[in-house]
Amino acid sequence: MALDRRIGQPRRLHGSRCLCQFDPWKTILFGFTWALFHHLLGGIRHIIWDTGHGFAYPQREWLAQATLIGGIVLTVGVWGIAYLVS
Amino acid sequence: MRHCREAIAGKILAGKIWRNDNHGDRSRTGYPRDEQGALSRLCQIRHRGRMEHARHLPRVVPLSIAFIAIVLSLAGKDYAAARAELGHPVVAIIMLLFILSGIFHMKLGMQSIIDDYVHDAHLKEWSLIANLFFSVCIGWLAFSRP
Repeated sequence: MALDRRIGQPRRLHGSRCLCQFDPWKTILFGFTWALFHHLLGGIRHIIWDTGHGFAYPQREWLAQATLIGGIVLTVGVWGIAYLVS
Repeated sequence: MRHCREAIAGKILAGKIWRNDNHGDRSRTGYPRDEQGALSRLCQIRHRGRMEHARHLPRVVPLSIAFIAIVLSLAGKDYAAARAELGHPVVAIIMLLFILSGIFHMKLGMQSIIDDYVHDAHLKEWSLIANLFFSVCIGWLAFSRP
């Protein structure tokens, strides 16, 4: 009975602030999403290498730059979209 | 690993080896063949075809993109709307596949690390077993309601 009433209610955290509003937590989460996007683009880079392309000189430099810069761009972009939508 | 890949890339660029060549008495990555010209079964299993690492078949990439899209579409919604969206069957299946493929990706990655960097045979065996056990435990706990 009590369980039926508890399912379907949003969970409330005890205390006045929730973890998501906490600024250090947001910083950690931002860094974590940046790491994840970098990992994602690195994986795509390996997939490109597995097809055999991108080993020669200018291409591998562009791939490395794209991984680094694209990670930052994606992180800022996704956080910006989330901030604008909410 | 990276140095092997770069060494092979250097040789391909120098025209010394081709990707689809037979390479005589060794495989392209340098593993010895036996009398019939076959790699030992362990080499075949561990180094499938052209790739040094185990083939990461569950491509997590499109599922990650879908997951990010779903999370972004949840921003700004209240509880009932978010619950309705996550209750949609296609969305739920995408989330489920994302979690499962992510866990499998984690297991494969850790297995590659153990395979490459743990040299003691005993420790390697037990590390691989522990890796699989950990991954299965994570998969079980992810879908169990406390």
